[in-house]
Amino acid sequence: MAEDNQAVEEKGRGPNGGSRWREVYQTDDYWAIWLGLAIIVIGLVVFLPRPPEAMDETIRESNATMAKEVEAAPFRTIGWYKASDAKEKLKATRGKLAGTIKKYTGKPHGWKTNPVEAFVVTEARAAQKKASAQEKYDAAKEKIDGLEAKARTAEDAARRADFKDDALNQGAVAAIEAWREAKRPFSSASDKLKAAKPVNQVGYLIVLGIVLMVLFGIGIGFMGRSAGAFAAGFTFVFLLAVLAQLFAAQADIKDAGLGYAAWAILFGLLISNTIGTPAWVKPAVQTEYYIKTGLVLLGAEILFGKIVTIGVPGIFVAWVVTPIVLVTTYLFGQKVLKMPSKTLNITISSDMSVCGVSAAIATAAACRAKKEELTLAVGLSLVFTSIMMVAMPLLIDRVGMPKILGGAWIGGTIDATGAVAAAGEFLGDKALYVAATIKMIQNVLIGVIAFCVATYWCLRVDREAGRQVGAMEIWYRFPKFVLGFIGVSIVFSLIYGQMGSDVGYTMIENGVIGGLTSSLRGWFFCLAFVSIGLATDFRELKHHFKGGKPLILYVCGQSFNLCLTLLMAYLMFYVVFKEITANI
Amino acid sequence: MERTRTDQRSCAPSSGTPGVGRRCARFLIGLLVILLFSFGVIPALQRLGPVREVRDAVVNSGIDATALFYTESEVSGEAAVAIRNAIRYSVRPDRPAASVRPAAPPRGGLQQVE
Repeated sequence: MAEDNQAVEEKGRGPNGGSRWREVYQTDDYWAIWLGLAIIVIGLVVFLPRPPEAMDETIRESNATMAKEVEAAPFRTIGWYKASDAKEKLKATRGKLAGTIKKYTGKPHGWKTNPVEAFVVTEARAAQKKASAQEKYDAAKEKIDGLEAKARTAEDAARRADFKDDALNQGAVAAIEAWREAKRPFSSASDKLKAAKPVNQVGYLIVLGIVLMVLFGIGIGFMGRSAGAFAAGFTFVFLLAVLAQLFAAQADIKDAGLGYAAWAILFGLLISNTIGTPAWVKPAVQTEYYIKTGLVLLGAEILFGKIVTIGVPGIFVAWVVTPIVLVTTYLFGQKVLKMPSKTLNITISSDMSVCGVSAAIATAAACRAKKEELTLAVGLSLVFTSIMMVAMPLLIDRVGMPKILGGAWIGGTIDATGAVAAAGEFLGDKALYVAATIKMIQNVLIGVIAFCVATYWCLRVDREAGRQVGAMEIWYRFPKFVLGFIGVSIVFSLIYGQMGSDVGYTMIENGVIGGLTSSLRGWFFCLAFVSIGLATDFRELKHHFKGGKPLILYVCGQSFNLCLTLLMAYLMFYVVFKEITANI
Repeated sequence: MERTRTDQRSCAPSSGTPGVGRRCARFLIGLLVILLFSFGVIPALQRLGPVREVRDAVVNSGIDATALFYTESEVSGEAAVAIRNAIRYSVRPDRPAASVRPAAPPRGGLQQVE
């Protein structure tokens, strides 16, 4: 595959410059852009003309209510929270068409002891689940209604004293906070009750597999390879991807934060290093193709407007600390540890300092790291994420760290969003909201990191010593899919900015992205990780781990990250911008 | 990403590698190890005291701890909305009148109010 791309490039270097145009339909770099763009256009066409009913009115009324409530009371009232909740519930993914798309792009359902229930839930079993879920829902409803009633009584008492009685105000705040703490368990019980229905996902997964096979097969055909051979092998790769998603959906595994990436690599490694990857599967082992297409879709999720969500403190914790840690760790790896592979070094530095697996994927693709290097980086990230997800909230709780500081610390250091949310949840709503928001801001940094790494590698690392690199050569070497990734990001950021954060949340985040591109992106990454596993020799993996340098790099880098993030979070939230902290 | 020779190498073992029986045995052992880890070790670890505390909070809240990116996590969106509203419509504990940013005028296309 590298040889095919190289041949295309070399032909283009001849006097007949027009043949370079063949790259546009013969390389996976460009096909990732065409496929990614096609999916994104479909998403825009499907979701943008279908806003939720009375969306503008609901947003207008909710904002007016919140504005009115903060003028009336010195604390956030029940009315304020209900208005905020009304906005949060506005999602384009709640529409009928969105629901249909979700059935076809969805992952296997959660299961505990019977893996069949991930795909098929019979009427009888659904009735059992519903009965159990109804009981828990009724209990949660009773609890939240009771807490709301108490909160209302306390708020009314404070209101009758014109909010001038501190004791009554504090009582109201405490009662309202207790009511808010019960919201997520109630929502979870409500979701489980709604989900307790008969299900048969097998047909939908078959259709999804066929659609993805055709989608990628078109590009394979144009790249001069056998689409038929690809289709045969793709069946196997897709089935392994489904198996990885199945394991990730098991209750205990899910709660431990071990997602599909780990299982996809593991199953692939198991097959390739024991019975061997069958020859007929090889044509579908297209790691780069799947990853690059996934990354173009990921570009739609890099919304630059989000970096100001929590104001300047968020920018400093997520966008100032992170590059410092990334560059410092990389230099430490080069100068002190003397890591033999620069690409392994930057991939580990990126996944540790930015946001784990997604950062590792983007960075590895941008600097053309080896598959084994990506596997190692992902493995390290997943292991330490699971450990930190438990250790950090316990430590924060035991030492009595302020919740907002703890949340910012978690958000800036734990690699994966899900683990950040899990750790933050343990500490309460404020910590959770700050942690998740800081992590979201860090996620957006991936776009910049990928572009900078690709540029640096083209200009400095890949060039021959003493040789000047011309502009055209930089263009030829630059991974084109990164341009697609950044281009999509810029376009979506502009659309999001034009719509405003309220409508953007409803139509873009919970419409185009949440309803289509994010799910497909997840499947593409899963296919990529399966391919990595199927193409990786365990001995080569062990070779990259020799001396334990990757582990030392990760541990030292993460230790530095923990210290610097904590210091910056403290300075920003408790010294410089105390008023922002007070408002959270 | 660089395409290593492992992409191009024959996936079928060469004559110097173990026979079919041995490879199948390794596969089954590897599968057993994975299953043991998934359904034995992980649940056991989840039941350890401090780990259980965090796990119970995750289970009660319905949070997906496997989400890799913020768009895969519903609670991320909820958090961003809550934080944005808290900062935009902030209260002042010292007096009822609070600082509120004026609403931006509606823009073209999908109507929105900041």
